[in-house]
Order: sequence, then C-alpha cells, then structure tokens
Amino acid sequence: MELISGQNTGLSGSELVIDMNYQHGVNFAGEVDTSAFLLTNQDKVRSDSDFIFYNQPESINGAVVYSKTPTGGRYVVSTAKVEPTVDKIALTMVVDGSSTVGHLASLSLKVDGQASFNVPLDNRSEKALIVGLIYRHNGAWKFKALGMGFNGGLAALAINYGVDVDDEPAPAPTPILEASKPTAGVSLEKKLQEQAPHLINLAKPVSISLAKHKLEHVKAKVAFVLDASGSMTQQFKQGNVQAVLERITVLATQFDDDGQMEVWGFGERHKKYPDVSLSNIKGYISGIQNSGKRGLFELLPTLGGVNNEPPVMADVIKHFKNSDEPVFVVFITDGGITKTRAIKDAIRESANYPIFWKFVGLGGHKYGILEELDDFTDRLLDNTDFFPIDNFKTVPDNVLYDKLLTEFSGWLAEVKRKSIIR
Amino acid sequence: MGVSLAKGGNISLTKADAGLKVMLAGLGWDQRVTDGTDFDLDASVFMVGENGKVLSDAGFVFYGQKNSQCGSVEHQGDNRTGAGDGDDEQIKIDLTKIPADVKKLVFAVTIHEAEQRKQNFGMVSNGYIRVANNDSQVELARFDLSEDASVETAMIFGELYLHGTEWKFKAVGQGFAGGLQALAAAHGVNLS
Repeated sequence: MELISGQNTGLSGSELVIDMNYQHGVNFAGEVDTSAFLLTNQDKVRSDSDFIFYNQPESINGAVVYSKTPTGGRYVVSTAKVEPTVDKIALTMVVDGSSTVGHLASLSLKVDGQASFNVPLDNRSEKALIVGLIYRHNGAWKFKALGMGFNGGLAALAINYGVDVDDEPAPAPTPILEASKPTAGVSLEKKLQEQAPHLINLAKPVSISLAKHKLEHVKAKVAFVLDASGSMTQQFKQGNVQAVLERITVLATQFDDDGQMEVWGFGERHKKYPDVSLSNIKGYISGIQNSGKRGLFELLPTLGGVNNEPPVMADVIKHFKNSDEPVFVVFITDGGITKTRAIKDAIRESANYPIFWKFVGLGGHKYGILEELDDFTDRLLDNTDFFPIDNFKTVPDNVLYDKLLTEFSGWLAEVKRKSIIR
Repeated sequence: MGVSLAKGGNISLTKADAGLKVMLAGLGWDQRVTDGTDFDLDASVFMVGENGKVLSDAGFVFYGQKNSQCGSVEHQGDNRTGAGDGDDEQIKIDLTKIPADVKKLVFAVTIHEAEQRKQNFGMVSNGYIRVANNDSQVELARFDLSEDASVETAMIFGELYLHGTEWKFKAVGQGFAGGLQALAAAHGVNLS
C-alpha cells in the first residue's frame, strides 16, 4: 500500500523490516544520516540510549536494530521486545552539509512489504525529516507516513525529542554590531548563565586564578589539541576529556574576544574540528566522536589509533605563526611519547612565534621529553610547561586553573620583550 | 472520557446525561512542532431544516459568524495555531433555544487553506472533536481526527437532532472534498 503524508495503516507481524532509501540529486552537497528515536507517549526519548544510529545501532534490549545500507538505513523492529513505555518509534533522516532534503532526488520508506511512502521533495527547506512513525494503537502497531521536519537539522530534531546531542558545527560568529560597547562589561558569570548554565560554577575559580596570575586583562587566542590515540579510551569514556575541554573553553571565553576556541584532534593522523564555544560545548566531544564512522581502535573517526604528535604540532604552528595575539595552546596527552627529536624541533621552531604550549598529561605515563622540558634550553625562550593529572576527578578546579596558567604570564612578558609580539 | 464514537453510531445524549441543557462541542489539536505553516483547524455548525439546507445564511455558525440569530449556538472564537491545553475551539449549543423548524445541527471540522498548505488531518498531532455537557464538563462522546480521518481536510463530524423528546448525536465521520466553502455550499449557504 502506497501512502501519502499524513496517512496511516495497520501493520501485522512481530518483526518489521523497514528500509529508508535515498538518492542524491545532481546538486546535492553533504551526507545523509538515518536514525530512529524511541519515544514515550509524550513524544520524548527516555534517555540518550533511545537514539538509534550508526554509533548506537541497537536499542537497550534489541527491540530496534539499525544497520546502514548503501542507499540508506534498515531498521528491524521486534514488536514484542519494545518496552511498554515506548509508544512510538520515529524513523528520521538528517542532511549533514549545505543542502536540504529538497536537493535529494528521492527519499522513501518501505515497511516490510506492507506499506511504502515516497516523500514529496519539491520546494523543501528542511534539513531533518521525521519520515514516518511506527506506533501503538488499540493494542496493535500502525505505520504513519509523515515527511515533516526541521530547517535546523539534527540539533532541532534532537531537541524536539529531548536528546542531548550537540554535534552541529559552531555557528559563524555574529558580527559585533555594537563595537563601541566594552566587552569587559559582560561578566563571565553572565555569559555562562546565558550560554552554558551547567558550567556556572567555573566562573569563580577561573576569575581567581586569572587574578592571581595577573592575566585578567590579557587578550589571547586559545587552542585545544587532543590526543585521541587508543590508550585515551578511558579518559574519553569517563567524560574527563569533555570535562577538561569545558574548563579550557571557559578560560578561552575570558581570554578571547569572540570566545571561540580552535580544536585539533590527533592519533596517527590529525584533524581540525569546528571551533568550540560556550554555545556548542555541551556534548562537543561525543559530537566529534560521532561525526563519522570509527575504526576499532579509533576514538575520533579516521584518525587512527596510535599517537603521532609532530604533524599536529606543525599544523598548529603553521596556523598561528603570524598571529598578532598571543596563543595559548593546551595539549592533552596520556603519554607514550617517543618522537623526542621531532617534538623538540617543533617546540624550538615555535619559540620564534607567539605560541605557548601547555602540555597536560591526563591519566597516563611515559611522558618522556615533556617531563624534561625545563632542561631543554636550546631555544629562543621557554615556551612550554607540563603538568600531569593522575586522576582528573580528584583535582579541584582552582588547582587545575592555577596549573594551567603557571608560566604563561612569564612567557608573555618575555615575548613582548623580544618583540615577538607587541 | 466519553465513548469513542464509531462511524455511523449514535448516542442518546438525553439518556447519557439527563441534566444536559447546554451542549459543548470542543475541537482540539497540538501546535505544530516541525517547521512549516501552522495547522489552523476550524469548527463550524450548520443549522438545517427538513431538506438538509440552512433555513437562512444565519444558520451557518463559524469563525466569521459566531452567533446564530436565535441565540442557541455560540462559537467561542478562532484559535489559529492549536497553542495551549484543552479544547482549542469551542461551540456552545443551548438545546432549549433551538428553533422548532431546525431539524438538525451538522458539526464540521475543516483545515484552513489545507490545499495551499498541503495539510491533512493525519499530519496534525492529537486532533479530536468531542461533545460534552457544558455545565458539568462531563464528556459524552469523542472522535480522534488523525487516526480516523487521516488524509481528509474537511469532515462532517456528527449531527445533533431531536428524536421524539430525546436529543441524539450521530457520529458521521465523513470526509468532504473542497474544504469549508464546498461544505457550506452543500448545506445551502450563499457565500458571496
């Protein structure tokens, strides 16, 4: 039975095989991701585990199993296994890229030989669609063809269903219209309150540490470089990486006029990710982890499982060497560092530029050259510092900020004296 | 909650609620959460005579003409988005004031500009129409629009009529092509 938008039909059978298929149009730019949401009768997920997609392909008890197919996605719904608190299952798709669903040549949903639906695509502006619903009605299951959605893409769709994901790239910074208005007037606390209320408790330790190190009025760019080699798995899983990123982002908000922080991840290869700021910090790490297919030993898609520091350091240096503001690079690693000579070369080269490296050891060992930086004098000036954190959960925020800011103001005075920066 | 009406079934309102004097027809739906034009559902009533046509244009009560001449039917106003809890539109019918030459009252629901907006009842979430006692607010009957009407854009929900001394309500549940204008024409209303 071919349905149109809004139409519903009864379903039979205890295992429903549902295929969503799409074809790109000629001008389509982007990628299509298909996913499903398990919803209560309030149209909300019970927890993030009710969001089923390629990185979480099974619902809790296997009631819904997702698999990617060459032209879309397949959902197998075992109706008897669907928990009673789940009232409906939304079958959805998202365009990741500049196109909308209007740029697709076709989009269809087929339910187990029982029903099919071709979504009308002319003049559509949505970037995310609820293509159809599988739902309970009078003790049986039904299918409804819908094809309605959101111009705001995944973020809008996820918010609608109450899922905590934020892997949308940071929006372009809005031009500052009131250029004459001093930014100092907007306190850090107020910014946090408005944009990231869950981080409000960091306002105080940051402000105190900045004052202690006489850095309250310093303008600097902040960058975050993240070791994503396989040995970091526990740090990612326990949320320590996200927590460190949040703390650095708050610091960046204070240092940086636009509050945007540049982010690199590295394994064997490296990649620059969308800038992070208070507005997209929530779920940022899981967002970039889920931004593509990951190999068995990869924490970030396509980067590989072993740590290779020199190439990402070279990229950071290239990016910032001509900066007219000092650059504070926070480099997260869990050690296993062996490329001593190449790392020394990178540090030595960057000493000629306004770049300061703060290496942070996170729950690791064998930090090698990083532990001997004080003895490394063969460079224009000391532009590095290192401190290890054995157990992130036990380090109070004020201590963390103090350790982060140590030596930065000393270096800042030195680069100004040497006219590396005005 | 009152009985969920099956198409064609009827219910004696007088038997269900002996104290019924003022009947309330309530229409509700959820505000649209997806992007696109809002859903605007409209409730209306045709007061027709023996021949199924309105006795005069004054016998058509809708958002543009909120009261019947006799004062028995009062439309409580137009909600254009479905925002808010409970009924989004209500029509009150004082059974004691219905003129004798009015043989039945026909209740209809339409989607405003459904064709242009490419909308139907199946796209609307939690759309319903119900009949209740206005004084006690006890619900007597109800009809789920999105489940039962689906691809329709206009529907005759039901008819209220006097059978002997008993007020009865019949669930019609019949889709109607062409929207409110065609519905009005079919019931003998001159829309200029």
